[in-house]
Amino acid sequence: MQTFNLFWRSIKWRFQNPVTIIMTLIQPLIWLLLFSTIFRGNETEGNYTAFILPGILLMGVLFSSGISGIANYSLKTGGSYYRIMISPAKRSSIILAHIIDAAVSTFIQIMILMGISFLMSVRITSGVSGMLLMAMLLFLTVAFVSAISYALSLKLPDENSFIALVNTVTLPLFFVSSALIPYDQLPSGFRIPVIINPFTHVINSLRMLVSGDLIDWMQLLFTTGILFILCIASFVLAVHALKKDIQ
Amino acid sequence: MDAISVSHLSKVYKSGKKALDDLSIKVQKGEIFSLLGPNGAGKSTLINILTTFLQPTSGKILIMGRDVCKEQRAVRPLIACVAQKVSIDNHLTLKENMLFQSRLYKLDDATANKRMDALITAFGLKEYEKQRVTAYSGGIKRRLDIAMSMMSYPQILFLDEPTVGMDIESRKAMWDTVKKIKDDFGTTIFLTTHYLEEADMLSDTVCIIQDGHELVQDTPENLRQHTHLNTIRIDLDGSENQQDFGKWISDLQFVRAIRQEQNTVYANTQNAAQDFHILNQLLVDKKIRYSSIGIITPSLDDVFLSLTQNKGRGV
Repeated sequence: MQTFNLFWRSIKWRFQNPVTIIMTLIQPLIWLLLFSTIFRGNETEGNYTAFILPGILLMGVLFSSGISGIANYSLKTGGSYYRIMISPAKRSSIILAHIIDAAVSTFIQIMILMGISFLMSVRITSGVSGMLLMAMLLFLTVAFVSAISYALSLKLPDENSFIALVNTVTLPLFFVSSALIPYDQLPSGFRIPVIINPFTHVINSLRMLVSGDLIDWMQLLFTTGILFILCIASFVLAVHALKKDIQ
Repeated sequence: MDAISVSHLSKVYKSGKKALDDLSIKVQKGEIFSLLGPNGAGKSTLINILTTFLQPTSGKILIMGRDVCKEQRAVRPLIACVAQKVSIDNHLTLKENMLFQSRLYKLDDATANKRMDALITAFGLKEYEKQRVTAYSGGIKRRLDIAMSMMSYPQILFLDEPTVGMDIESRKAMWDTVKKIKDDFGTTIFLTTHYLEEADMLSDTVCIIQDGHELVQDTPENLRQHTHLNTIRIDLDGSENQQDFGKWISDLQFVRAIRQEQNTVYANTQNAAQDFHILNQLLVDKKIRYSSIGIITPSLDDVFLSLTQNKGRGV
């Protein structure tokens, strides 16, 4: 109930300021359109847009959920952060509301990106159930990333350092993954950081659901497991940071 | 049981700044308690600690008998605070703001709606209901801020400098509001201010703090000997013998102390308004030549100065 109240408040703001959703959508959108157009000529096996879509979806998640914590800085400038902090609202509800808010704006982006891919003749081979599985993986990723972002916003002194850090981390995480090149085609020295990057596994599982012939349930379970652990850890971290924010 | 009891509270920020230094105060239930002090005295830090927003470095604080540091969950539903920064959400309407607050404090919808209507009437906000919150003036925003904070019917309401930056008319309206909250809702009110007049007029108890330590806590009547510690200033004509005059005036029964600066004599008296006439008459009778005489009302600085000197701390 408390979570819903807090979420209701932030989503009202979000829909009055839709530009905050659009802004983080632009870059993934350009990548989607650019890459699929440039590499269309080389399409030897299947649709390149379908190949790159999972990476682009993840990029969207990293951008929009990664930056989500920035809202704290403007809340702290006014008195509403204080108002909520001294209320009986549970700290975990505050984090949960933040995650759901980030999920709503991220999923709006995901739906737009999916819609455009559909127009570019991408078909999800695993069907509706596969799409639901994709949504679950993406939601867990959003929860992990947005909780980390929230915790960071409490630790870093101002917006500038926050944006600088988020920007520094986001693109390398995207490049050092299987987003652009399949894992088994990567140079061997490069494979180690790629396999350590949890987002590689998310992209691989998404790719399997988008264009794979069969669903490898073990791989899916493994990815879900990793994400689940990361979500719990980042959630605990964010709640802890919020409780410690009073010293 | 006291509404608030603070003993030996200290707060040192990570930066090393000492904001509160062995502070002890008591606030009784149902009273208006004013914390008076210059900027940087530690008023806001104290409010932040009392409202569970900041952790103290040391000391013990009880709110309605509950430990603020250890029983935050029990304390939070009992209090509300109107901070210096306006905390209403500009993207919500007046009613939405109030309902959001009510849900933070877990009120059911029926109670929330009933209280909301009562508070909108009590705070004269009816006519602003339809307007956009962003279009409100500062005074109306603050009034809504207070009305919101009252949604949970807190037992203690904290007001951090509620009238700062307001014109005299809005300040008077605010004073009425504060009194109304106390009378109609029985709420204990803890407010901070740096206006002496405000503290004097509103409060049942006034506490003056400086450099994070309390100087005195008393009723305004008892403090009045500080605040009405009036001084009569006499400018002598150059031809008068200053030393003889000084001796003569300090021997007068009602003069407690004097200070002399060349031709000007400052005489501290018990009741300046009354003693002024007597002294004036005496000067005329004794044919002492002077160019001016008048009562100087002490500024807040004078009161602080006299207090800090009395207590031997600070300055």
